[in-house]
Parts: sequence; C-alpha cells; structure tokens
Amino acid sequence: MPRLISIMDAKKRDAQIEVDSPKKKERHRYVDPAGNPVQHQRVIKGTEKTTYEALVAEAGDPDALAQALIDGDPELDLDQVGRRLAHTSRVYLGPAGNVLYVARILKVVYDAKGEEQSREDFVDVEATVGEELPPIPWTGRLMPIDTVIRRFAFVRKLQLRHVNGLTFDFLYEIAEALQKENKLMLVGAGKKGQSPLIFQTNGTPFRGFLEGRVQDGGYRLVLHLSNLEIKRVTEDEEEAG
Amino acid sequence: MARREIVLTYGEEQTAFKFTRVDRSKLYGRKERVILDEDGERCVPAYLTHDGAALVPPGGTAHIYVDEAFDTVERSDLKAVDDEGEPLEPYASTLGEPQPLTPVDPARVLDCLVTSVYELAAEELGAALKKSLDDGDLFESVYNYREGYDPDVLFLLKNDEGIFALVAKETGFEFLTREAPEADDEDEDEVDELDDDLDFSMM
Repeated sequence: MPRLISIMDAKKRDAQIEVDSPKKKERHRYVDPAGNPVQHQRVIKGTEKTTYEALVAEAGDPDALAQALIDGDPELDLDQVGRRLAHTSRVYLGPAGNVLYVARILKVVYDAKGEEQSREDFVDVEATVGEELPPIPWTGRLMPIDTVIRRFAFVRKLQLRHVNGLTFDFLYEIAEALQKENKLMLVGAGKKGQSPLIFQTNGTPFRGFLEGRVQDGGYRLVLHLSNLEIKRVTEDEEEAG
Repeated sequence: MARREIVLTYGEEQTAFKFTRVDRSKLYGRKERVILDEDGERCVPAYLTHDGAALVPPGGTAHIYVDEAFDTVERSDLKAVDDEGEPLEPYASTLGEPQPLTPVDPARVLDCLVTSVYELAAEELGAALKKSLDDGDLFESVYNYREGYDPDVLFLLKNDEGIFALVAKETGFEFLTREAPEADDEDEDEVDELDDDLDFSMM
C-alpha cells in the first residue's frame, strides 16, 4: 500500500505525496500436474512441545528420547501440525520454552570482524520521513549519475506519485528540473537534509538520491535509497571466492 | 570450481571472475537486538496462534503448495507456466557459463533495484575488457545464480576500489500522467520494501 511523505521543491514549497515500491514481477506461476492453480501456504511443523529441549525434558534424558522416537512419534504435535499459520502474534520464548512477559532489550554492536564492541539498552530510533513528519528538503546537492552508481548500491527504491492535479504539477516540475541537470540530487532528512532517511521506527537508515525524468507529458520521479557503498571486502592479499 | 565463477565474454575475449558478496556487516559491522529474560538469558521469537492453542518456535513452520482442495502438491510435481498458462522452461544457472556483455549507459542502472553486490577477482582479465573498464565503460549481462524462471540483470563496473558486479532486478516504474494518479491497492503481488523493515544494522 502506498504511503504518504512530504517533500520540498526548489522554491521551498512542500507537498504531501505518495511513495510506492517496485512491483514484484515474476514471469511464472506454478500449477499442479493437471494444470490447476496451486497456492503457497505456511503451516505449523512443530510447536514448543516438540522442540528438542522439550522432548528431552519430557523423556528424561537423550537416551530415553531416542527410545521414545523409536517407539512412537513424540516429535509430532498432532493437534497442531499441518495447521495453516495466519493471524499470529509475536512473542518471545525463554530458554525453557516459556512465554516471556518481562523482557530486557539490548543493542549489541559487532565490528566488521564479528567481534562484539558494545552492548547497551535498546532505544527506539524514530522515523525521519513520514506523513506527519517534516518534508524532505531540497538540498540542491547534485551529483553525476555515473559517479553515484559506482559508489553506492541502490538497494531500495521508491517512486514518488502525485495524489491530485496540484501535486502532479509539483512533481512534474521537480522531475523536469532534475532531468535538465542530468544528475541525481542527494537528499536526506532534517532541516538541511543531512540526516538519514528512516521510513518507520527502527527502520533502516538510508541515503537518498532523487532522479527525475519527463516524457510525453508524464514524469517519473524515483528516490534511490542506499545503505551500502560499493567497496572491497577482501584483503588485498586474499583471493576472492 | 569453474562452476562458481562468473564468466563473461567481451568480443572474442572470455574472462572468469571469482566473486565475493559485499554486505554491510563485512564493511561496517552490525547491530543486533537481543531479548533477555529476567535472569539475563537470551530468548527467541516465536509465533502465538490467534486462538492461543499453539506456540511455534523458530524452525516450527513449513512452506507447502496446496491445490484448490487444500491437498498438498509436492514441489517436484509443480509445473511453471506463464500468464497464458503455457509451460515455461527454466533458465539454467549462468555460473560457469559464458555470458555476453553489452555496453550500457549509467542511467540504465537506475532502472533496476540492486539485490546483491559482488567484488570480482579475475585470474586474467581480458585486455579489451580491462581497457573498457579503465575507460569507465559499464556493461550489462544476464545472471542466474541457480536454475530458475526469472533471471537477474548483472552490471559490471569498475571504481577506485576494484571491479564489481551489481546483481539487480527491473523496477518496472512507469511514467505517470495526470490521468493516472492512483496506485493499485489491490495488487497482491506488490512488495512494500519498507514494510516490516526492522533491520537494526543501522548506520
């Protein structure tokens, strides 16, 4: 479902518009051997009663569990297995398989070698872009397309869409201005557009690059999002593979 | 090991690249959200069914295909068809199989969503390809990691760090006109990339 954000143009006017993600376009679908349609389903395979820990606790020890598995099917929760999994709630389970009612949430930071650097209480990081949040400002920081695509991997993309005739004109003008420059505009959140774009609480922070094109009276305005630089991850002496 | 290489042809030359995936954790490290109980013991997420009858721990789900009568259809029995119901032949994996390179404009990369970045290393880079990459040329090819029906686009480029491949998919974004402001809310195939976006490996 499209979501609303606010964005500013070069004249410092802001408007609320929609953003939309790419559609998943697959050229195939599956059918059964007779050509009838099939559906993908997620079903229950095991429950908290059929984990290894629960089965060992029930049997007494691993050897007893092995014998129980030979004698019967204790690993199958026949009341639940095969049920379609839908409309679930997220809960957390403790080491004994108990549901957690009081939890402490930590943020643990690891360096690039996987070594723990710090751990502290987790604090929510609020969104910086959204319907009720300030507009993405016009930064005017233009960068050549060829430079940007060699430095940053665009791992998310959002198409900016108008919601009425006024915002059509608004977005069309932005797209036209960017096409004339034939460059991408670096955008971000905050008054000066220097903060990362975060679209929901605890969401991934991105750097944004706005691209505009116009054609035959239409426009295409795309926010290219990156959180990954195109850099080597192997040491010089190490062979890639 | 040739199977694990990306093999690209440029003119008469053929170059085999070993590849290493570039991901954020290797470049910047990562951040993890850890849930602890009152004794400081680490906990795991689980699903609670809406009727409260089952707790489903990690690994407790299975993905299956069912027909209209909700009978299971084995994956090996599934047939892939196109929109008209015509059978489709799968594309073979391109790993180890030479794929031709086509020069493209940098703006072409903007039409695609990058799904993977690979750092490439060639035992012997073709001379003509090396010169083109040094000159700043950009190339496109077909890429299919494993046999499937929807091959990806592979962009080959060079920057100050080295030679890289960007594996990508077309976004399909179209030009918008004044008459067509509405997004299709009913499209079940829509992928909201930002929905349930809880990546805590923040910048």
